[in-house]
Amino acid sequence: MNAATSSSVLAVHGITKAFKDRIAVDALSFDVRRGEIFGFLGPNGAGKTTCLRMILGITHPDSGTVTFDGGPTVDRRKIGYLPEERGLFEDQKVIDTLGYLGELRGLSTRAARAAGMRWLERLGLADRAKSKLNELSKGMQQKIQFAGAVLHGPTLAILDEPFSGLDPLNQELFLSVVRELRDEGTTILFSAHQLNLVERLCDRFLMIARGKEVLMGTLDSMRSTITGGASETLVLELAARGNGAAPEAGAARAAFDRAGVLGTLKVTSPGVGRLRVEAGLPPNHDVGPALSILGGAFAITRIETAPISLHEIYLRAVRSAMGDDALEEEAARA
Amino acid sequence: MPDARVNRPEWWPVARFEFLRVVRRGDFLVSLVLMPLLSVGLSFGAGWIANRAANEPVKLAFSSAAPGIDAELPALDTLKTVQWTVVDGAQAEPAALTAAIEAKTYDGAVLVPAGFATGDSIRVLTKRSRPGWVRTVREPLTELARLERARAVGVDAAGLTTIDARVPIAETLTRPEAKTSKGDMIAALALVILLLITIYATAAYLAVGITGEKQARVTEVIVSAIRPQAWMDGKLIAFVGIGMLMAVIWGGSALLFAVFSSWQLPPAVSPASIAAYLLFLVFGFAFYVSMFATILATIKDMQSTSRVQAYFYFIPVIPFIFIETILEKPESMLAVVLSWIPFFAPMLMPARIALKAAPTWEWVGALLLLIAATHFMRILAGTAIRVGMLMYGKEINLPELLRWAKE
Repeated sequence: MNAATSSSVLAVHGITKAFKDRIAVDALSFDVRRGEIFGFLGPNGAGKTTCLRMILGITHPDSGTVTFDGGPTVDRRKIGYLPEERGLFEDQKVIDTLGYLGELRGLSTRAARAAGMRWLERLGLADRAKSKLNELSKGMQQKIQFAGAVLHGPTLAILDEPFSGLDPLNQELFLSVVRELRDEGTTILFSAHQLNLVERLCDRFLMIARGKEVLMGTLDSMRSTITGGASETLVLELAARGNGAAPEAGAARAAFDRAGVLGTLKVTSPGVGRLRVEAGLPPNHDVGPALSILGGAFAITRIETAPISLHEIYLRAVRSAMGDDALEEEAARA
Repeated sequence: MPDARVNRPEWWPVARFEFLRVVRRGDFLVSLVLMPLLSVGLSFGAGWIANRAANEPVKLAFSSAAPGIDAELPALDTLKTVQWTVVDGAQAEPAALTAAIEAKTYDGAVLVPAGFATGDSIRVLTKRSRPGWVRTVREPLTELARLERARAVGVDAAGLTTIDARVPIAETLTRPEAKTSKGDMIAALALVILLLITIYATAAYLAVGITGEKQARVTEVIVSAIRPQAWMDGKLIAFVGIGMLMAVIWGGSALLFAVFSSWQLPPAVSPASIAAYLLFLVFGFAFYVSMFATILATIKDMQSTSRVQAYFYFIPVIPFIFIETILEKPESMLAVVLSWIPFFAPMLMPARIALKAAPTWEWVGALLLLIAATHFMRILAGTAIRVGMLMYGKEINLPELLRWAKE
């Protein structure tokens, strides 16, 4: 449970929303702190969009409260929103559209168009200001939509799936632009399925499933929670040395036991006579003894260590909350 | 960024954007200008054709076996659209006349037998069946027979005129203030027709502005910045503005054309009546636009609008079914009740005002009811947009809409 703090831009407390017999959001609480990039994650149909709509005041919670910038009402003009389901006026010029979106957020006509022009320059689209939207590529339209969501300098920007449809180069551009936006003072609530990108961008995360909180915190704290402390992964690939015996799962497990390695151990066979061992370790754990034992018996053909990725955390957290079968059913339904 | 924010109603940017978006469209400008030009062109064109037809009368040969009527028939032809040529002797023989008609000397021939007034058929020679000129000459020929029959019983033309004189009727109004004016009637009818035309002309743009925007998935972007109701209000205000722009241009053009084509000022209309008609025009239009907007807001895509398009063309005509009742008995219970109902009021109440059958308190009351109904419709339209977004692409039915509106 998270209480709103004085540094919170947004505090959500116990919001619940039901549609007929289905609970879309179930007693969800979290806060978004000023100046942070907050990742809001969950499988399709988890209740993210419903939650965002309640934050924006498009719909109202059945119970619970939303506090924005210390007050009980959400000032939509201080929020920038890039919805997942988005489109623009295809028959309109880019600068006219941006001007309109700025005006909707309370800017004067002149200020809105000037801000729109600045963002077009920033995104490398200044020469397309007078183009109609249907003349632009999907990636360009995506940039225009992003500019429209943030050109008024919002206190809080809510970006729902901003990477969808972007190529890797534009994804990188978005990462840097979002960071710049944060540096300029905008707090960002971020929802996306590209977890490798989200991992690089967000300061804290909230994972939900079936409308309920599954996990929340920084990446390190979530790693620690989900792995029981073994937040680093050691990956080894073993093969027979010369005419020696092929590596066996039992031998690998015994070697790790003898070396006193804690945490999860996953042993698979990537090919005939080969073994892949993935071990969850606490940070800064000495893997030397285990390597000595295994290296004495087998050839070590590959070795790498890495912290557990957000992707892995997400899968484990959501699976533990929903179960594998339920997760597949949910994905199919969404 | 310096604080460049301005305080203005939330709906204002929507209304401005939507209004300019439509009026800048090429097809809108074309229809705005083309409609009056087309009307003027058609009027002039029809007049020119009629004038030309009048200057080229039908050429008919005329022969009578009844003595003394050769000179009477052309005089009885009040339309003067026939050029009569009296023929006799060999020229009056059917074979000669047939040859003359085939040679285009005449368009036809009329042969009157001696006993035409007592039942003998008048014979016409014509190139094809039932030409239009037969209808034209039937009236003077009938009049000719009537005169002949009168003469047979000793009544001359002057005596016949005396017999036919109409009974004079003098009208005395029990309420002098109930005297209707031609100007009031014409103005009421003109504004009701203008209301219908603008409703039809706006419906397509309204569909694009609401359902099209939903389909293009723009709505959620907009209502994240302003309330769904403000979005709908902006749209409605824009479309009322667009409709009234059309009404001013088209109505003004029609008025100017009427004045300049006849070089006469239009008949006078009382200021109170014209004010009432204009109020019913504006709020009636707003009511119909709000009603259509509610329907459109429940539809998920433009393909589905074809399903309801027929209603859009049919609904505004329904009040016209009752217009005859209103004109015949403007103070009947049916007329009074219907003209108070917001759905009918914009069309029927101006007719009752023009007929001096609706006292001021009555039309003001009906107008207030119309404004209240328009307000209810705009709330319903705003609710439909908000609910439609929560339904994730499903269409909303009326019970669901009313349930959400109550909340």
